[in-house]
Amino acid sequence: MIVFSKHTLDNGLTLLCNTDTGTPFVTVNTLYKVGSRDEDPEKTGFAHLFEHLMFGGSENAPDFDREVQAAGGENNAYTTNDYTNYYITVPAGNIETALWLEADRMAALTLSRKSLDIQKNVVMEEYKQRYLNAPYGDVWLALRPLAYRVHPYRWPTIGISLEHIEKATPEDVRSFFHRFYRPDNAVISISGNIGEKEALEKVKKWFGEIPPGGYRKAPLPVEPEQRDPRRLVLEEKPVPADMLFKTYHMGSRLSDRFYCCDVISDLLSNGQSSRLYLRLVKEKGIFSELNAYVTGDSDPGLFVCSGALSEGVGMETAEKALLEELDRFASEPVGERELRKVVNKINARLKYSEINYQNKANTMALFEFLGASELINGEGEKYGEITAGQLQTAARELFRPENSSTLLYLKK
Amino acid sequence: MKKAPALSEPVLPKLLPHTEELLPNGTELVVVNDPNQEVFKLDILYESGSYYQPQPLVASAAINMLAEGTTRHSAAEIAEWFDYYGAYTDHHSGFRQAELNLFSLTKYAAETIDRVAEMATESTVPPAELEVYLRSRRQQFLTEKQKTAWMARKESNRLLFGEHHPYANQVCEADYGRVTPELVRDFYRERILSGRCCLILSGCITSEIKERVVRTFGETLRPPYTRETPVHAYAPAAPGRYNIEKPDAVQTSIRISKHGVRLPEKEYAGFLLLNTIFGGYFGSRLMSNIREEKGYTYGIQSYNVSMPDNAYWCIVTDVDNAYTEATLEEIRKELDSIRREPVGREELELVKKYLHGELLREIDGVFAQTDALKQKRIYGMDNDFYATLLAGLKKTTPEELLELAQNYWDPEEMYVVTVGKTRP
Repeated sequence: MIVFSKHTLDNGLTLLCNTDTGTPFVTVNTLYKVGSRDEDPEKTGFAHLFEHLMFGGSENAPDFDREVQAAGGENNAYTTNDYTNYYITVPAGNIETALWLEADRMAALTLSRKSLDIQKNVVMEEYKQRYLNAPYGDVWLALRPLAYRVHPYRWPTIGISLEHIEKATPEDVRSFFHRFYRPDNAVISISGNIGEKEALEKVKKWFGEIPPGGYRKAPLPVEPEQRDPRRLVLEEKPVPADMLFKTYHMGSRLSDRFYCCDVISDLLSNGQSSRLYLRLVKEKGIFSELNAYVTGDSDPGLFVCSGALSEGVGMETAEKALLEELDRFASEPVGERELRKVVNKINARLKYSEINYQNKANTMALFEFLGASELINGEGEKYGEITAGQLQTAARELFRPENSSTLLYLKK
Repeated sequence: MKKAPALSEPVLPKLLPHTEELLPNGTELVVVNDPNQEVFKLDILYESGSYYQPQPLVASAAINMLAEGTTRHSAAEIAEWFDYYGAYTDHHSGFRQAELNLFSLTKYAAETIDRVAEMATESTVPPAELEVYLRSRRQQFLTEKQKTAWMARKESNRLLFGEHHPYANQVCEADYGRVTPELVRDFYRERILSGRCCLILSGCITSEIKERVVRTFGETLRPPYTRETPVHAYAPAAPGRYNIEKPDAVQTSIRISKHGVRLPEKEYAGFLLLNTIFGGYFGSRLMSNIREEKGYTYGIQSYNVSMPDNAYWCIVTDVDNAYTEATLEEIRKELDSIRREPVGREELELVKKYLHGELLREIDGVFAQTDALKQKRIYGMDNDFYATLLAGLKKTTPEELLELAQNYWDPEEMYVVTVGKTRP
């Protein structure tokens, strides 16, 4: 259980705070409600590039990292399709340094030409390291536009291509900042050795005077229902094994269906007693590795299966075996002990995630972003209520051929 | 606009107390209790790392096969049991030690501890399960082997320790076909059922948990090893540039290495500080120059790895093929500069503060503290090490750092490995 308080400042900034006296540290987590889905389709990868620029210094703190380091802290950030998240962990006595740094860059980020040019280069090297030089690194560059035709989830956070990153101008940077990096588009969550009241006072002190932006986002294009199976084959790849990817459109993070789909993915591949692992990896040896998971995006996301084929196994055999396992959900209800097992495992995972204050800060920010802070302690119950019948209905709807996109990634 | 708030004084580490005792069969038991948790962890440490194996992959197979079948339960039954109770088991195989870990809710301790004890003492190594395990590991190996960073690490270890030393990664594809159930069972009997074993309990440890662990692990007979501990001699190569050509690479992995400093050595505190300044944190000289100034790379680090009887230090980065030589030149300039001029006061103070926080984070919470303790025990130390280390850092001077840099970082003594596309 995460005990927390929630407040909204006059400028629209939301604060969630949890006190954890088991650590001498505190984490200040700042989430901005902007991700790669909010980008111009001609300039993708921008939200992530901007995340890099947020470390380029601000009016009173020209060297962001140096200030964190001098406070004995550490910091980092990540960008998703939905949001951009920054966190600083410092000894609790230095919480004001963390708040000052976040407030200063929210109020007055320095946007220098030099910083932009350098970070473009850094991001392009990141692109190469993660997506081009790594085996299977380019899978999602191909899979996203296959599964999504209209919604901006069709491009990855790193961007469609190196050229898109190269195109970013100082004007793009400025307008992006003024639009999205405003207190009314942000959530601050704090967890660690600090009282809730004290945290609120300090947040008011540092952020209270930053004016809101009042920007209203235009609604994003809705992905139309998929009506035909899609298929893409990539050949002659410099990899050791063929891989099979299948995606199915599913509900958004807050839909009831999300929980059913998540349980289905756990039944299939979470743990060594899961169905895909036992039957297709161990017993039949068709795959050397096989996973099923949900993307958990804010807008309707994907149910994903990805597997590496064992040597000598044909793609046709592998695909048939996987589909048989997915179809079993529609024909046979899940047994009581098997369902109990997965729910127990999810509840244990939720407990384990509450050990660490950084995780807690992240969880609070994420649910507030989704507009559902009541779920911070409410997910266990949602999972506990799921029945075998609901899973069967969800699976029938999910695993329809016309709802699927298949990518075959074939070795040289 | 608002100016920087004042910084508080660095706090000193607070450690949870730990107890150590010897069980009737010679097994060591360490307990780090934190009653505020609802979970606990059991680590079982064996002297069964790759150093002792008769051929590649046997040590890691032995520890991994503990989950794959016992005299009483099949692999599927074991897996289902832990999944049902929401518990995790894990395996690690290092150079010297191997570990079996259990992470579980305290309320299910009885169910999970008994089953882990069964895995540890009644492993059967079923041939079919071994085959599946090796097949999947082989596949992962074939993927890893394509990565330039993996190739660079392998080459560096070969240069540092010698081709035939277990610290060099000797695994080749054919090794996956040479591991037999008999070899694994023999190694299991010799190094996991016999000889030294240490149990570490951490998290919420009730008296029932402790008693159960003592009962299930403390009474079975543990005979001594029957074979002599092997002695592997080091055979380091000549320093210099070593290039491996990979024509399809987009980036080149650079790895520069040489011998480092072991944890118990008196220079350790100074060396840690020196390395942090040079390449050990986000604001390091290497990062500031090569990422933030030049934009050649997404990241560049240097770090020191301490082992029971050896240590190495290295610089690692991935850069576009076109930046390889320019990056090497910049690294060389940074090395020359840190060996020529004393570190400025301001930079030194900054890094001392940063490192203080970093070391406190290393022992933040019961599980981090236990992991740290596990490392220190290898050298016969405990987490009091941190107080000594922090005191050592505090009094280190720029002159001492200069001397360390001159002694340890002669570029002529380094192995410079590059893996990528260098020829047009």
